[in-house]
Amino acid sequence: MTDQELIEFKEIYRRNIDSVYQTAFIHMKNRSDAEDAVQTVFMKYITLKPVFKNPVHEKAWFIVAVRNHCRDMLRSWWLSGRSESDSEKTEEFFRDREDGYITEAVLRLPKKYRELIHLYYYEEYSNSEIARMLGINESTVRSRMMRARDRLKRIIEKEKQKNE
Amino acid sequence: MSEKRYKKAIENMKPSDEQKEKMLERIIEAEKGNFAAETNIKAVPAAKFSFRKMSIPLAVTAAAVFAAVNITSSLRKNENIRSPYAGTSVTEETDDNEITDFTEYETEIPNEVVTETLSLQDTGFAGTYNGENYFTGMEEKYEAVLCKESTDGSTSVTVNDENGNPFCTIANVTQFGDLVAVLGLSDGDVNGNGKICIYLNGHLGEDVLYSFWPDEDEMIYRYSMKDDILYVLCQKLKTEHTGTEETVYQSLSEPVYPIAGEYTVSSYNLNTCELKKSDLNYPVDFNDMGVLESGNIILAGINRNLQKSLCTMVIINPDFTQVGDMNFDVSASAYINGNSVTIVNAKRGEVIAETYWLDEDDNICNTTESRFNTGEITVYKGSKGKYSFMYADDTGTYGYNPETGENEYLNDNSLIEKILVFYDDDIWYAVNTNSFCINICTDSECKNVVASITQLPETLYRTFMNNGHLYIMLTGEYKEMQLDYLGEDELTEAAEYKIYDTDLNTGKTETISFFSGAEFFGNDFYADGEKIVLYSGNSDSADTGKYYTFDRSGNFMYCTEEEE
Repeated sequence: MTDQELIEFKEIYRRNIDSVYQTAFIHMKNRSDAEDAVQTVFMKYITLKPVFKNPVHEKAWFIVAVRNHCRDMLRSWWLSGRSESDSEKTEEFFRDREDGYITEAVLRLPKKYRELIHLYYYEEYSNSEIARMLGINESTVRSRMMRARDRLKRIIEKEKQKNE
Repeated sequence: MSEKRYKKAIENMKPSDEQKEKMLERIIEAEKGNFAAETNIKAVPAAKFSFRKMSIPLAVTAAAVFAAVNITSSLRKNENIRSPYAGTSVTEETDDNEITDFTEYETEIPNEVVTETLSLQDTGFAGTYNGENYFTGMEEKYEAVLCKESTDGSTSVTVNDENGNPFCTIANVTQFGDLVAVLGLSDGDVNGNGKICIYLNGHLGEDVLYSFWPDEDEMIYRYSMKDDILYVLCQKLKTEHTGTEETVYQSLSEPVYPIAGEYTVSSYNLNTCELKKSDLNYPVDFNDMGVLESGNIILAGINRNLQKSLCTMVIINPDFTQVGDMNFDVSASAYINGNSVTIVNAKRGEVIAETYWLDEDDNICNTTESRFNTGEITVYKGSKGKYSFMYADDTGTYGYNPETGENEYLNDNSLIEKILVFYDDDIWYAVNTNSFCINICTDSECKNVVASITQLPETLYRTFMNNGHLYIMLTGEYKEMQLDYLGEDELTEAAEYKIYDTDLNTGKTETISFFSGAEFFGNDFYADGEKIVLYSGNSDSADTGKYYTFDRSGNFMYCTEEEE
């Protein structure tokens, strides 16, 4: 990588790191695995040097790439009998943050709901954009969103009852 | 909860500035390592760079991506194709200008093997299209998709009807030259009589060139196409009110039963838009229909109006006037394949397959006969491409090839149905089924079979995974019986349900069997070590209906309106 390439890469990294890391975290549910995924995806970017049409294209590429990578990692880990204990500890990590209990609740959702909450509320993609990114129907996005919100509500209420 | 709070919840997952810098530093270090490897100075594979000491080598990761039934999304491209049939252009409109083509993004993604994996319910073999096998399934329990099996992973297509709504069920897909017909049910069509939508080859799931709806008192039974004319055989139905609101038939006020021997035949010319329809009143239970090279239509079935049941074939012309018939002194089903008809007389211990070849004037010009000894068999209508029919006995699955007169053994690689079962997307097992047996496996290629359920008399109905157990539910026979828990003295038509509970660690499989008068239309199915909960609801509404709970011995326990 030349000095100029390095400068450009750092710019791209800073533009996308939050989305890439959050997508990875949403899938892997723990910091170290998310960091691994971030590294792999940015390494793929360096190796392949894809040309993006615009920043929207660039961001979408990173989100889909890290999502695919995480899915592969989860499958390979399932085969090796990996436990979920790490992620349980991670959920507790957010307890002291503002609205941390919502973060914890989001992390307890099944993965397909977690990623929708991320893409819709944080990345602010529309239903049709999410549908295209995830390769699912728009109506599926809507029904999943509805179920995600419903489940989230139930998790939070249950947690509240437990603490009372 | 406000959008702001959702956003905050996700924002909490952002990496800290220190973390970001650390990651950047390591990526740059790794990149240098790559450079070294490329120039052969000191080969350090990129995958060995990791933020943690323990990392998964890329090769292992790639190998773990099960290629067999990966379902990648088929995304539409913006194309303008003039349809020669409908006179309208097939145009995909985009919703906005910002992001228009994710297909392109996906093709650029290096990790190309998996883009989306669907959790499919109610899968089944749909047919052959462009020489590839298609399977149907219910994605997320709501929308029907077609999945294509191919060597480099499968693709899925959500097929929409002419109103742009996805089918809720797909029963069959058939290719006719450059057209493809999909038989399915659309949302809101709860009578079960289905519809056929015709698409241009290569644009499955896009614009419908023609849609065929049967009348309310008809059910599509067979369809075929020749020279751009679609022929549809429908069976007449009778409706019967069998219950009151208090009974389990609450959501099934008007079940429909076919009337033996009463059919209608329709034809639709896709070029001239001419639609013709006629009643077909033959005392024959037709089991197949085809279009011969002459352009005449052939129907085959068992004639029940004679003292002795005969295998009967009726040939009608495109105006639906009878032009010929053939009766064979055997009570057996016949299967049509191009210009040949194979009568399959399956007796215990022996199968006799007689194939009659018809010339261009619809006269029999050649006959072949094959006999093969076998145990008790189940005959299925097979692919129109190669086999007249398929059958299974206790030695395996076979396809009868009328060209050679031989029955070909279909090994495990030619399983005609496949299912993937996911549990919260994190843990998955494959279930491979070929209508004759179900193999439960711990890998998608189904090499590691932990349990098998063979010689199935039933239809696969639902699957559910819980606590290391895979529950496969099948439906069996229907019979009239008295169900005590309904509190009625009358006989009720009940369906047999069998649930196979497989411990995925040991492969040990237990069977739970029971009859129920409730029709479990809904998709909810829960099972654990103590009970089975099934939802009986309306097929077009998940909001009405009841939850039926049975114990592990199949005894009805109780019924609730709300999910527990």
